[in-house]
Amino acid sequence: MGTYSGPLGKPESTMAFALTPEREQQVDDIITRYPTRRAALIPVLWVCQKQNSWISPEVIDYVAARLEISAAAVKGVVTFYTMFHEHEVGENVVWVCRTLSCDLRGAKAVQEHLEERFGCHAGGTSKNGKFSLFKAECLAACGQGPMIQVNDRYFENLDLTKLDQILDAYEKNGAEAAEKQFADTAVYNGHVAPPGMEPPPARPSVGAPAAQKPASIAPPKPASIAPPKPASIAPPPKPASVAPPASAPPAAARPAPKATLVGMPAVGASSPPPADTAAAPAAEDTTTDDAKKGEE
Amino acid sequence: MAEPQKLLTARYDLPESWTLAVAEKHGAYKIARRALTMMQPQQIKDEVKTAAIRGRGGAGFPAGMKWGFLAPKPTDQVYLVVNGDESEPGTFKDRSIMELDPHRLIEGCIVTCYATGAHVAYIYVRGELGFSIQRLEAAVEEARKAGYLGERPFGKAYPVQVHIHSGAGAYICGEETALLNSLEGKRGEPRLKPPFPAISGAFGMPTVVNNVETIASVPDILELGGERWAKLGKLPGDGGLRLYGVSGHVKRPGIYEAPVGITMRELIDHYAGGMLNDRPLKAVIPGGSSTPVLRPDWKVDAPAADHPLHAWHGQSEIDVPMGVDTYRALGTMLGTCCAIVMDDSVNMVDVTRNLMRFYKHESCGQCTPCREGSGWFVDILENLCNGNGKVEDVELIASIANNVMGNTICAFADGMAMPLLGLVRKFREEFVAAAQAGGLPEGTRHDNPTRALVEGKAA
Repeated sequence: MGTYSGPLGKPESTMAFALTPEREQQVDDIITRYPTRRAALIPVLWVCQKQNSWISPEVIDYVAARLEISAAAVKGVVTFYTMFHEHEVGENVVWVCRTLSCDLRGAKAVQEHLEERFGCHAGGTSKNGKFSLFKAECLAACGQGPMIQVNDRYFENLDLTKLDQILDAYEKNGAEAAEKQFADTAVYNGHVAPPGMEPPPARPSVGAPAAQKPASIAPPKPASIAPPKPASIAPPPKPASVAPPASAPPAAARPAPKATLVGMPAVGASSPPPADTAAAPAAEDTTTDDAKKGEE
Repeated sequence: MAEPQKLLTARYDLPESWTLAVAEKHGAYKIARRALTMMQPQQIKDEVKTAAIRGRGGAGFPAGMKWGFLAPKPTDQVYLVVNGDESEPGTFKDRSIMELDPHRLIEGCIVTCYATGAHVAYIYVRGELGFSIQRLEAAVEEARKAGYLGERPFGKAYPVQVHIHSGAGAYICGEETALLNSLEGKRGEPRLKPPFPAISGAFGMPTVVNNVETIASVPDILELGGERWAKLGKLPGDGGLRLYGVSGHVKRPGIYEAPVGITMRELIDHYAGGMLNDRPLKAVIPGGSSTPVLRPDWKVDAPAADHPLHAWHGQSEIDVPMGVDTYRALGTMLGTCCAIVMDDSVNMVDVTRNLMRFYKHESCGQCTPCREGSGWFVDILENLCNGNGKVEDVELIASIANNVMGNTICAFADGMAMPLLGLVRKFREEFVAAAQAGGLPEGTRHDNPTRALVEGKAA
């Protein structure tokens, strides 16, 4: 990776980076908001990344000159913050949250599905260049996990079917159309009132609240732990690409799977994962620390 | 007159609640208008002090007192900085305000600016919340056009500007001095305190830094009056309604507005609809990942009559009212009041590893104990989980944690070590078992992939 690694980190390109006139205007506006020019650094880097999709050495030089600070100061900031890309990325950037709340609700299965779909590990880019995948630490959507962020949009309360629908839209119709198609899901759409005090649904809440939908609730518990729930609680989930939970062996070691996604084992779910577990033990290990700034 | 059950979330369910037209029709900017035209700044400060509002960002410092530390020289420009860098794992409450009722926050900014002598407010929103930023920017633009921001808000010659400043992905920027550095265009590394921001904050000027929810509560405090607002809470010295978040293994994860001082049991059973699949509750992290864990089967031990928790002696930890002071007495922290609920299928060593990975990734790297310690924690926990651990490792974790705490510039290290020590103390048997049994019990090693990665399959 890296098309720019010239000596001393100097750009190899002879083409200087330039913003479009509208964006230049935007930068001028940003600068007026702060008592120092330097304070505009992060917002201006955002404007540049919007245009260029990553922060290349040329961008760093441009920003340094524009804000009258050293390139080293700019680079220091770029390397500190996770969201500035120091390498080229795909057309869309997908972040999958793997911190505790999301992990408790099956975020790992989401990451696996994304890796398989894209054919790359977290930190990489799909071969068709449409998606880059990163593992994120807490994205402040804990009540609606598992979730992903695509570019600057959140998609929450995911199951694998919904996940594929979203990605298909991005892949086939482009980011703008996809964002329009799923416009309602961007806003916070979790619960705000306790049971029985719910107002009539006024807010758009496409696909929400998943946590309540019976279909998203786990397979019935084995009788040895607790009386099984009536079958009506968990109608057979729609076929997801993960192996059906029905195949889970009786809970030999520990309590039952408490999957929260269709057919997915949640964190600590007891049933040994379906069939092909034994293969590729390293898939996640190599990516757990992925493309994090801390490593660079 | 019945006391209001909903203040912050009162407008959440209105269609288009984020627009000025709807928000104003339902009361937005009424208080700001009254405050600027009819009240003196000192009156506002007094009301907020009487309201006993504890900072909603995690530390629980009384907001009125914080404002009182400001002592600007005549030449100083005071700044208000609103902390919307919500990134504590488990916490997702501020985002709902910014997305569903941004005008409440802007109104709070106007009133707070006026009360504290600031003319410029920066709302620092974490970079990932692109949608919140859009909503806030649109709302600021509407308010500016309506003449509520600018040179003469509500006709009063007291200029107020509100700017939205986006972060770019760094947990540490939720720490107030790191946030100020980030606002100034620097790496988000915390500063040594003192000087505190009230003396020398943004751009070297006296600065008030408050959480989004704190600022959004200010108009309600003025509307009800500090005393009445304070009484909405059930605990002395800790007033009002606040947003509770619940995530994890509950039926209805979400944000719920409730009085200060409900119990964790109420939050889980009543508000969040009980445990997912009715499994037993094993543990709950009460207020974001930096707060030590609670165990429902642990009892409050407060036999002394003068102990602040004596009234709950012998009861379960989750039956203690949730307040800043009660939770401190319990040996944990209220934090952001956003609970992560875990049922009995969860292995706590695994949970600890997940959290420590977060801290390792987010340590800013400035102080050695935190930067190195966070990595060691992860390494040791990986060993324990993967079957390469030793029983002594459990002591080792505790020893490192004790040496990390208090030896760094900011509270990040404490926020990492305290929950770690809490987990080791309350679930020691699981850590020891992981060391003795050569890893986590069968089926709980969730970081094994459930499927093989097929290179290049789709792309």
